[in-house]
Amino acid sequence: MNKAVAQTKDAGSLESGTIALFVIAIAGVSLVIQNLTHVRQALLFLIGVGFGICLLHAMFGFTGGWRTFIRTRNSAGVRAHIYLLALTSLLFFPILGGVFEGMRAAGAVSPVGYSVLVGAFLFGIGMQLGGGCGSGTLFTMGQGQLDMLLTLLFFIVGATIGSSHLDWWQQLGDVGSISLINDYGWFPALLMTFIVLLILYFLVVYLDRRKNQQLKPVFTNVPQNQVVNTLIFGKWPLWWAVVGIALFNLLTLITAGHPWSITFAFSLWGTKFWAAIGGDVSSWAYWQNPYPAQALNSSVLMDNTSVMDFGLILGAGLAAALAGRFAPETKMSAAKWFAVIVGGLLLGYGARLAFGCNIGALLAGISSGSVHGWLWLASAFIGNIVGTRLRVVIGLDKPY
Amino acid sequence: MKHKTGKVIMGATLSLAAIAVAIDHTQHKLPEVETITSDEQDMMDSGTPCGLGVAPCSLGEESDSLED
Amino acid sequence: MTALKTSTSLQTNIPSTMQPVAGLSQEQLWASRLVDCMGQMGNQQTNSVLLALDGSKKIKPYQRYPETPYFFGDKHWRAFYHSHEADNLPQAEHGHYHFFTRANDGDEWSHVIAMGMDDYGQPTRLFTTNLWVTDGKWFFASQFMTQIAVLANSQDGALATDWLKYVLLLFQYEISDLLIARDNRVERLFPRHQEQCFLDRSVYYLSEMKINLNKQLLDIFGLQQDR
Repeated sequence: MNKAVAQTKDAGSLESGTIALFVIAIAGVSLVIQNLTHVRQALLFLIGVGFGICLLHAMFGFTGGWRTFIRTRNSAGVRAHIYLLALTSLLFFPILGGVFEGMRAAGAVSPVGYSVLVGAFLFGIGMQLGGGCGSGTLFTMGQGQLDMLLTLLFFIVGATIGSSHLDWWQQLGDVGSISLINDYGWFPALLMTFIVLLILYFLVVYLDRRKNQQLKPVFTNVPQNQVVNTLIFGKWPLWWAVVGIALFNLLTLITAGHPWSITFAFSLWGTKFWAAIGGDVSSWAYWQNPYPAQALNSSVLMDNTSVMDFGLILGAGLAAALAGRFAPETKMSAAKWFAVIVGGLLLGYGARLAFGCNIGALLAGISSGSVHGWLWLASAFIGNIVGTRLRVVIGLDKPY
Repeated sequence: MKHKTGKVIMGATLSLAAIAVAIDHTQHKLPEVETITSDEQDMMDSGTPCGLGVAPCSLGEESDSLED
Repeated sequence: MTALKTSTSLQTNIPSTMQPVAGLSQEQLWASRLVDCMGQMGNQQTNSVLLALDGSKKIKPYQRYPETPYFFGDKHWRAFYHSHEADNLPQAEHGHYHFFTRANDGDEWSHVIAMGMDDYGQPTRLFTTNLWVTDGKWFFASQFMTQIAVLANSQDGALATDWLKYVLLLFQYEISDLLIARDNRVERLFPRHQEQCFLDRSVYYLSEMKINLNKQLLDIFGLQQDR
């Protein structure tokens, strides 16, 4: 009997109740959303479930992958991210470039300026302290990691505060939105993107090989007779998650008309809560813009990002239960408390300033041909270096 | 924190979140429309259902006297 | 009124005042005011229909809300919201606003347009109805631009009526098209005998169009979905 099946058989006997609960919850919530709002919102919820399953089963995180690379130069995670960026760009550029008439979609194109520079840097530090990025926080929280639940709570607080300050940061200036697709056409823009990704790829491989004897593979094989088992119970090779995430992102683009995003919902939830308990948000300029104003004015179930986030959490929970990994033991030290609070706040504040997180700004931005996505990448990576150091300083990690 | 405690906390959190979503959703939802009786419906059908006046749907003279 | 900050070269360019600003169209000014209204409604956790209902927990069919229909546009416009069963109303529609106008004090009110609203107080469609539905004086499509200009030049008032005012202004071209389509349909149904059409109770709708307020705003500002 193979190890994966043995593990899951043991896990299955413990977690079958949890699995059933998640299946019922997912089915129930999607029906409720469809009934209360629109079938499109229910579809987006289910796409979110798909994301949650992909992320959890492969433990596909940006935070861990970047930290591993910074500490040990093991580049498997980073290479997987590069593949994801390349594949998503390949799928998105023709659509955003207008190749398919009748298919209307808007890319994630945002201004290139100080708010992205500072926001992404802060987000990067927050990633390492908080223990997760946008997608990482949600799927690990969905897995039942209680420290990530705390990170998420402070993520929401930080994003809400960020929305009240965003106007100030944007006044510092920017050079405007730069869309490679609009400026050069989708095909040249795609070639440019691939060239830069290729350069990054060779750079990380070079750095990896300098320090490590062997490159850890991203494309690992799963024996044919274990494919279905692995698909259902995990653990997925990274490349399965790359393909899954790219395809679900394509479905998002087609269904919602825009790429997958995560953190707008956090500032929406926090601001709605603040307004509900009597806070005055009328002076928060961010919420005087059309889309945010409409979202604040409507049910949270009408917000695409929110329903997808709900789906992601439940999908990750289901995947964790299937893998026998739901609600693992969590140890909270003083250093950990400090990290999740400060990290969560930086994640939220940074994401709001930077027009999104690793998903909404980095993945969506680069795969929409927006230059702000590249600025986000550079700035966030530097933030991650600082954050990785800080983890050592406060005693979360050993020195490296 | 132990596995079982973790599950309880997660369950409570998700439940609270569901309640918050329900409150937000219903806050924005409009009240339900009462069912009209058949007599009332007959009266509407023979009148002007959507005007400004004293019959549920016409303006007439009275509306001008209601100017503020 | 909330002051909106200026940001240069951002994809969410909003003016800081409501005076004409270089580079900002009249349409964008109206859209900004509408967004301001939406922001205030969001802050109060309400929407335009909830404001019209003024706390009513149940809605009586055909009951007008507010009870005294709104006056706005320097009293050249009126509106009310109501809800009622009808075979031909869309399932997803909770109720609709009816908008009336008149050129001068003392004139009879004329129905211009109706706006369907969903269960969450968001506009879903615009439609015109036959004259028997609303009574009053028939509104000619040629009068519309004059009345819209009156509305555009009118003073702002309460949050609820400002929202209605700016929605009408933003959808004025769609409304104009619907009025023309309405007249064409009347002509087709009863060539040269439109009075017969006005009394024909089998003809309820004359023209209609689905609308999406969010999309309209994003198109006006040339914006993309926020993240």
